[in-house]
Amino acid sequence: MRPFNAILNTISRKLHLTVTRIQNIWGFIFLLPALILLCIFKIYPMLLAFRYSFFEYDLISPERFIGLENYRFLFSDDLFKQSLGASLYYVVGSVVPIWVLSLVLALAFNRAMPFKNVLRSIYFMPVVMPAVVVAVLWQFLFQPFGVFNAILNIFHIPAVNWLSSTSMAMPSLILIGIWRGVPYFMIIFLAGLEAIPKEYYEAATIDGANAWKSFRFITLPLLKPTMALVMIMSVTIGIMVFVNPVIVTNYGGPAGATRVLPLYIYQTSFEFYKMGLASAASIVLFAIVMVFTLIRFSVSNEE
Amino acid sequence: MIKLNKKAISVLLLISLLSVSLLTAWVAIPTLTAAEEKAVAAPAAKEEPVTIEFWFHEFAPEVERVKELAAQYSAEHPNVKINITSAPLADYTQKLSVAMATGTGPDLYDLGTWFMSTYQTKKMMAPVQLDVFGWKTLDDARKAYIPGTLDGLIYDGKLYAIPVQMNSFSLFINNKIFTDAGLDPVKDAPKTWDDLIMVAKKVQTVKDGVVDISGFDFSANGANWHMFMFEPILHQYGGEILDANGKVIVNNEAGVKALSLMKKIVVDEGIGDAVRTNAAGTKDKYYENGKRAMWENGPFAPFGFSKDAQIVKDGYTASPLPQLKDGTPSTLLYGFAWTVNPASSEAKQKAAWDFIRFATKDPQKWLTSCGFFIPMVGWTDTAEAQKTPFLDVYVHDASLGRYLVVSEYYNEISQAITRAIDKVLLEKADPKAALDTAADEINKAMKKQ
Repeated sequence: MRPFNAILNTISRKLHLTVTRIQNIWGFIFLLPALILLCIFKIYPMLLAFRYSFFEYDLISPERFIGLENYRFLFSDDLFKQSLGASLYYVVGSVVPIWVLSLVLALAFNRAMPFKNVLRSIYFMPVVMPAVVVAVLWQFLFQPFGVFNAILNIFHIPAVNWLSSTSMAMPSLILIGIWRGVPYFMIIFLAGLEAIPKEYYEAATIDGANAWKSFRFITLPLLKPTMALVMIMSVTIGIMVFVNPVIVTNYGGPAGATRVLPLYIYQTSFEFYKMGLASAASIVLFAIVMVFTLIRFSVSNEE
Repeated sequence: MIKLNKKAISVLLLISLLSVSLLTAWVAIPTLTAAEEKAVAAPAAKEEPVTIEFWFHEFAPEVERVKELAAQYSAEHPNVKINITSAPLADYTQKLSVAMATGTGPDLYDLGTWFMSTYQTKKMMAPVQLDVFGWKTLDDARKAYIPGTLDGLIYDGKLYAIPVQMNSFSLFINNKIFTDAGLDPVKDAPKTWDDLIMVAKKVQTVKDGVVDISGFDFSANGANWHMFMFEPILHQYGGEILDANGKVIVNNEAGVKALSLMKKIVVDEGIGDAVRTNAAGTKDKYYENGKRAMWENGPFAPFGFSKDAQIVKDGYTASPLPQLKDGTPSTLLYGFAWTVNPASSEAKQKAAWDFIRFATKDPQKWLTSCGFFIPMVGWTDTAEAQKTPFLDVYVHDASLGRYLVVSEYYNEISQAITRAIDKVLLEKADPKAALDTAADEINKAMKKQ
């Protein structure tokens, strides 16, 4: 490092660089490896996908420029619309309960209680479990003679076709998403809650504010940055759901009811070899996430 | 070391030739004799070392068998090393596609017969080197196999792969469930779909309002399995998914009749349980656990049973796949064939084809070790083969076998058909409407490159 440092010092002396500028250069040097990896594995493939979305390309034959044809096909394709609808259904169905439940749990765990850390760890377990293990586990819970139907049977409630009914398959996936998502976002909310100074609550108590008013006028406003983060992250994670529709409902079944957009993209690219069309669908997915993120940011800025 | 003079060599060659002639006349299987094997063995020991990358989808008994064969082959051909890679089918298919597309594919690989058209169209398979197998023409190859069983591997007059597992589907019966219901698993095995409905009703039991032991279930789970169940019935009605010109005709009268029959069995007659038929991850379990009286599957199925499975205790009988009373006798024919990457070097291609020849020369061993049926002619008549349980059934059903639809759009087709079947069996949709939608989806997929 010393020779390198000496070279840098010589350069900075010759270029008359300030200390701040030198620090910035050092910062950039430390960031460089991560930036290179990000460019190679994220930015470049994204740019490539954008380019391919204007081409006909099957991985083998030479690519052919077709302009906006892939986009025109997508928006006239009923299967794409079905997948888009499935993704939106999943996102709306899963993120709202996730926001509410994770906040409620975070508020509960933010209070003094016995075995708090042990309980927090237990609640966090679904997050650390590998996605495939979670999928297989829930698949068995949802089986016709699985645990859920056995419980319903105890109460003489007719068995539910959790995974084999077009109307129930998506709610079943949403249930898994909520189970896995709540503890993750609970931790983010907890971090936000712990950052709120205790003095604010003490002052409010002295002023006669009850628990609801403290929550309404202190907790909620000060949690807004955390909420924005949770909203963007949960929508992004929700719209990218892939493993569960593949494993739990067997590639988006029944009758395509859980064939979400990422699965449509995967099958179009690696099963149908229509890389251009799959790239166009990826760009649409990217645009949806970007639009939501921009809306959320603009709302935050206005507030 | 014995030194042979020219005369002795000539005599030996003559004897060898005579032996070859006699053997080929006696045995119907046109496989190679030891002398021929040496003659075509590739590459010779003096040649450069060759390393073959061999990928195949994972099936535990097959992995063991391939390891054993690779070791044997390398022992006989010290300059040839075979590296084996296997992965579960879904992962394998994706990995193979990407690798082939990016020029990093293996030299030798196995491929589901339903993918053959896609791979052949994209020039990812090399034509079989017939001389390696001792064949002069394609007809010689055809003669070595049960008629029709190579059809799905031939494109433009060239054979592109060698079948290692070419299963037909038969009807597997749980013996105990049958005998408990006063039926004989052999004599009372249903011959037609109407018989099947009748027999299934006798053996099916209901507990707490739900099917406990199902009479029969279609294993309609996953796009391929939906096709395995649907297409044989479609063919029995004389139907096709695509006509000779590639036009979608699955929604014509035969198609509607085929799907209506499936609906009649599952929905109208209440045979089995449409829900558990479709339940992901359990298609094999109900039969294995003694909760299904009849089930469609291939000769490999018993090799997947765990040792303490209920079906092992109950016992099973394989029976020919039910047919229509006045239909065209037809069953399914599908499986996996081994093929070679055309991008590999000449030496690797030659060695890979020779390894395939070496690996497939003992069909009996494949059946007894993995349950894979290689549809070569001749070997099933041997005394040893005749000892294999239900071999006559497997041969019978294979001889009636028809390949799944051959199209480079197979994946799109199978998914469209799957959605149609799901709608009909699970949502009680009208078969004609469901197939019309499927036909539209297939047409659209075929138009979009």
